Amino acid sequence: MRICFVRRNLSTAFIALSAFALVSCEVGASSVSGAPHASSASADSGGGGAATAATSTTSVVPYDLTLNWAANNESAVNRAGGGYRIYYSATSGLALVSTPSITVPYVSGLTAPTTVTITGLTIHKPFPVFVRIIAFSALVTKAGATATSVVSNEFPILVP
Amino acid sequence: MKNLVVMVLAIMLAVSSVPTQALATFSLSAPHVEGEVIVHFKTSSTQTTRSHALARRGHRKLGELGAKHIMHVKLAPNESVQSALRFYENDPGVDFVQPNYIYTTNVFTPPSDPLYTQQWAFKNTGQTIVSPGGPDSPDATHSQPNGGTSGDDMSMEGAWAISTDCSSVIVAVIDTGVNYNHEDLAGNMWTGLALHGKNFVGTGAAGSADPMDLNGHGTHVAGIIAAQANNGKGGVGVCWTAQIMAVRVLNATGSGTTVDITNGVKFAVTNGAKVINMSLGGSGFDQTFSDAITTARAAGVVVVVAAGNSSTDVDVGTPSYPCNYTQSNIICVAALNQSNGLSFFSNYGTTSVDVGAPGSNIVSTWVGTSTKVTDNLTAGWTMAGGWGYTTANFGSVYNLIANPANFDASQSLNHLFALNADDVIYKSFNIAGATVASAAYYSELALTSATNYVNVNYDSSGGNPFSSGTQVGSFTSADNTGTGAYHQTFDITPCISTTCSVGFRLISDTSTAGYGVGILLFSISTTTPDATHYNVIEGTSMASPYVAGIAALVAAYNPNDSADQIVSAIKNSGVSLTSLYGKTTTGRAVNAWNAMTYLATPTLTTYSVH
Repeated sequence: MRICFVRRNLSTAFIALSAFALVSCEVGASSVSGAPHASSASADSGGGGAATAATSTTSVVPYDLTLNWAANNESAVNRAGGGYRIYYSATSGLALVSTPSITVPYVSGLTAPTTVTITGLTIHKPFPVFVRIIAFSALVTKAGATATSVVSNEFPILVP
Repeated sequence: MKNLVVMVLAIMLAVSSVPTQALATFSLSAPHVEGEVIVHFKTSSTQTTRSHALARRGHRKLGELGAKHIMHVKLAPNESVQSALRFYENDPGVDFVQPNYIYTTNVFTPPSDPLYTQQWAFKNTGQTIVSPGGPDSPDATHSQPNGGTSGDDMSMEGAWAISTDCSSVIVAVIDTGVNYNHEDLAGNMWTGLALHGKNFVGTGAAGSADPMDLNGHGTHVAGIIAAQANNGKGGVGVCWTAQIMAVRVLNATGSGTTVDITNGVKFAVTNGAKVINMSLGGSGFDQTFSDAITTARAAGVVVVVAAGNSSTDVDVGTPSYPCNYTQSNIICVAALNQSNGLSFFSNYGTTSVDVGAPGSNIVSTWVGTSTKVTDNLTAGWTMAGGWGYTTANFGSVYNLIANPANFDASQSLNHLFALNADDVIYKSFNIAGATVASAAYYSELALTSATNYVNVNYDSSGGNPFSSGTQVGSFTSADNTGTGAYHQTFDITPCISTTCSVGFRLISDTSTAGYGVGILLFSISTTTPDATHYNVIEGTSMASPYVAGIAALVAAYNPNDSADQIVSAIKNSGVSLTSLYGKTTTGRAVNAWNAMTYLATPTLTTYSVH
């Protein structure tokens, strides 16, 4: 298993958009002991399978990708109707509406889950898995839409 | 070359693998239930085909909506509605599929308080603000007509539709005190101490610890933050149930010191305030004051402050502290008029001033009965030496008491006061019955040297206040560091009587005469606290508490939010205004509804591949 930390790009203070070198990830490292693999999510239609179509001519063994994020503090995220949505793709910069996603809704307890496992991925080097995340709630905004956060910066994960 | 072909092929595969089909017609931006959809199978569908369709995705039927082919469907765990819509849209056995939308009542019942319709900051209907009779009336000058633009408000009713409960949050009003007996505030006063807070400046109305407001300013601020709602009295505050902590650091004339304010901030932090409002300012950097705000930050306290009322860019001109401090828990607020324009008096600055909020023509709670008597300076003064009545033209003609009596404000004539003078002028006023009194005036000064000066005295027993009275001030030309006439206000509360005499005494040296001194616009203001008065005033002092109220509302709704997160929510969720572009750090006016629905962008922390 490989466990990696997301490191901030010093020049922008945000997650790097494309520079894989900015992701600290050591093969075989176990720097996070007992890293969470709490939930195993099914990829959305057109997601795990479609977005992970072969990216080279070599045979690829599907793998699972577990993502962890910091919990939002807003109450509306951590109650019924709230949660997170993870967007992932082999292509950078896709419009969200076209990007496969997994919804991680609030279920019970104090907070919505902050981890998800995307199963059966086949995207691999030389193409990263581009991941973005938003928080959502059931609150209605002044504009009449469901309240969501601004989408996070794109986070590239390069799987050998 | 072969590698290039593989690469291109790979890219094509990767791109083509992303679904490009049209998504559901039904909007996913409207509120809907996650994990559920409503599927309208074709009427020709059979029970078997419908069951098979659900089974392929691990869905299950929750119920039927009036017909067997219209199903309320539960999705598989963690499957998005978007995914399910796409799946059923591609099923030839389905007519259409839609989210299970969430509907709520659209009717928010506005508060019934009688002055609510005057509170344009909450709901701007373009209403004209009617003064309830206080000394400050709506300002119809400065291109700022009384009456504004419908909708130019803080969307408060939308925020209240989410929550009006601020009862868990203590908001410290660090100001002139608060009239904690006011009918629209008493029920929301902090109860941690018997007097609902503490006094840090001089002696309060009922002793040294009493934070009772003896000015009016702090009571007005408190009402903006947390006047009670639906009690049939006055208006409402941003937070209908917040706990108001009265922290008196400014005296009856609105003046306080570093020590007073710093002690007040520390008191608020120590006693659990989550939000501090400071509608006050000074022009000098003050390390002790700044350190107190840093301490508040460490304790997770949001500090909301006023930008100041000098129509000045505080980044390049005279600064205004605490607005110009840089701690991340500070929100500095400019004032907006009733059409979302920058109020004519408001300070601004793209580095220091963060947001705008309503600050013109604001109705709120008041300390009590306020009376202001402006003396006409034409009769009744007992004078000796060189004093006399005269007039001067400062754009308009004003009456003056002056020394020399033929005082020449233009300083073009050789009219000088006498050398070695000790000249007294005084007048007696009946201010019996008041609780607080202050004297205010402007002076034109040309006293030449520090050894030529004017003392100010009062005496409650009448007569010459320089015989047995109390000195409250002394000034000379060098004290006026501004560009206009020198404005001073003195607390003369101990002088309250039927025979309160107030006087000026010019003392000059033997060597240098000057053009003298002219006193104009002399007035005495008195206040008697009661529980029923309201007033319309304006200033960035009024804009700041609107933001403090929003901070309290957000803090109550999101109790796990840090101070920095609350500040971020308020700043980032505002409405962009051209009037604030290039004037503030955000270019935005605060919007309570947006702040309540603001969600921070999540941050990925770790991942693992396995």
